Amino acid sequence: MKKILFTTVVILFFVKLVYSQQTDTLSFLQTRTFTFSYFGNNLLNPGLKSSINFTLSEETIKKTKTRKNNKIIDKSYNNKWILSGNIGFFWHPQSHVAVFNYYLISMQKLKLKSNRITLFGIGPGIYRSFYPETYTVNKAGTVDKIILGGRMYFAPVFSFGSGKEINNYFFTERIFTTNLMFLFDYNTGIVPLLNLELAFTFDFKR
Amino acid sequence: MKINKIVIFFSVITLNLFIGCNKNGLNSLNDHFYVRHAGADMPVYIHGNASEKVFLLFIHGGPGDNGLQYREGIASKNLEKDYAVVYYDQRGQGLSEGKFEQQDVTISLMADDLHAVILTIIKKYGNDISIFLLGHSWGGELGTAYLLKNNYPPNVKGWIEIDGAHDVPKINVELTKMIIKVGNQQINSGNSKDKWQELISWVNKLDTANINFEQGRDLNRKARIAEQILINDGFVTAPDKKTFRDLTILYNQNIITGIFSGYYTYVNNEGFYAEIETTSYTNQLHNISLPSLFLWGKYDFIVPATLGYDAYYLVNTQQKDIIIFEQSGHMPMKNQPYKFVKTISNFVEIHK
Repeated sequence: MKKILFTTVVILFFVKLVYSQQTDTLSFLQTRTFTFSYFGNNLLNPGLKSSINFTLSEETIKKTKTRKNNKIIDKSYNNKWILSGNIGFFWHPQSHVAVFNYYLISMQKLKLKSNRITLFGIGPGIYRSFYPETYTVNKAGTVDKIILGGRMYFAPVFSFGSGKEINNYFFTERIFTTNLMFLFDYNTGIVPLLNLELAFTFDFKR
Repeated sequence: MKINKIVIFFSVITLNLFIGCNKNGLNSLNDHFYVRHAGADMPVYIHGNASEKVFLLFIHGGPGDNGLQYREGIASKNLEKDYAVVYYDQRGQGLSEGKFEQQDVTISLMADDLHAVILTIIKKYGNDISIFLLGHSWGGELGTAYLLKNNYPPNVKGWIEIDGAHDVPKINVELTKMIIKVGNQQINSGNSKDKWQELISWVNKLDTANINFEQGRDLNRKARIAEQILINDGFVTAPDKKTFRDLTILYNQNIITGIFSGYYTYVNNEGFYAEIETTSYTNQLHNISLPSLFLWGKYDFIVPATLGYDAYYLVNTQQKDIIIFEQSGHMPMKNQPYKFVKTISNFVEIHK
């Protein structure tokens, strides 16, 4: 496990080193950011998620506010519209494993003075549960074991987050996100899943 | 400080992973699998000692509850020492998944689901196992429906009905009588006079011959209030506080999913509730010939003990018994867990 972690960090370091020196043209990796998250379904069912983010538009708005004591406060902020593709999984230790894939359009606001980030995202997705062991029983009462038992659902996602821009060599943002995923048609209706994410964004061009 | 928080966060996650680890072996079985039947994928959990090949299968209450709720508390913990205890989530409840229509949900289909679960357990653990069905509350109605289909395999050796609702129309009538009778006794003894008077005056306004769907639900709520009054006044033993084991079991039930799933499948399904509210198996109980044990709380207002006596007298077997738990309400397994375990063990040892 330690070897895998060490190897991953070394690879990331060299990939970043190579891409940060290519300043003439922006490559695929340099025009996108990557996010890696701990994904906790219903708080504690552990999971991981990774995302690829593409900035659709970006604008910086300069704004100041003068207080009564004539002190000028910088209220400038940066607005981004981001399209992201997300893939991940979580494990319910007493039940099943779930794999999901969703696409978000997010609006992210960065306060330039405090480096605080807030974001809101919405988008469609799919979700597949995998049961540990599954048997099917037909009308005649015959029991058969099936492999990869589970169900697939349409799973739109709403995401709300806040965090901070950070000046780490690897990571540019640290965001804590609350993520609501709705599973259609779950039995006879809809079931929401409450997920909490602790996400770190990796930017190759920095 | 930040490092401490991160360490605590990941420690809790690691702890959760350990809780999920399975120990397997017939003496300390921790098995989990799904049964797919007629559009529903129902999780089955088997815990305990399977060395004697005796399986106690809980049919949970509700509808809207889940199987693992019955794993909380001392009773199941002690039963698991001697027997393999099976908990399963009925269709549309707990963590069961699937895709089906509301109008397809019927008592008959759910009895077929139970049959599918039993066949799967036999397939997995062998033809020489003994299965005892334990139906609590709504599970009593479902278990009775299953036995009346009379297609159960010979491995099913006994029927244990715990405060089971096999005749809902009769429940409503008996419940109103019981509130009046027990209420007046309590008022005469000077216990919680105001609360009982309030309950009695509410019940007196009902036309017991024509209780509708909404009134049936209200009656169920009043029954819970009546039982709580008796717990507060010391006539019913209060359930033990939840232990760490109970909390981990509670966590694994994934309550948010269960609530939403149950809401769409049952609470918001008037057709199915109408079937439950009008179903009476009393006239068919003579068709049950399996060894039977009826366990009832003396102060069960939700399903009064009159139904237990009906079942005891009407089932068509000499191998039957009824035990009334004097300090219990609707959940004798929580009110008097030691007596509950001993009674079940005695019955199982005779008929296994």
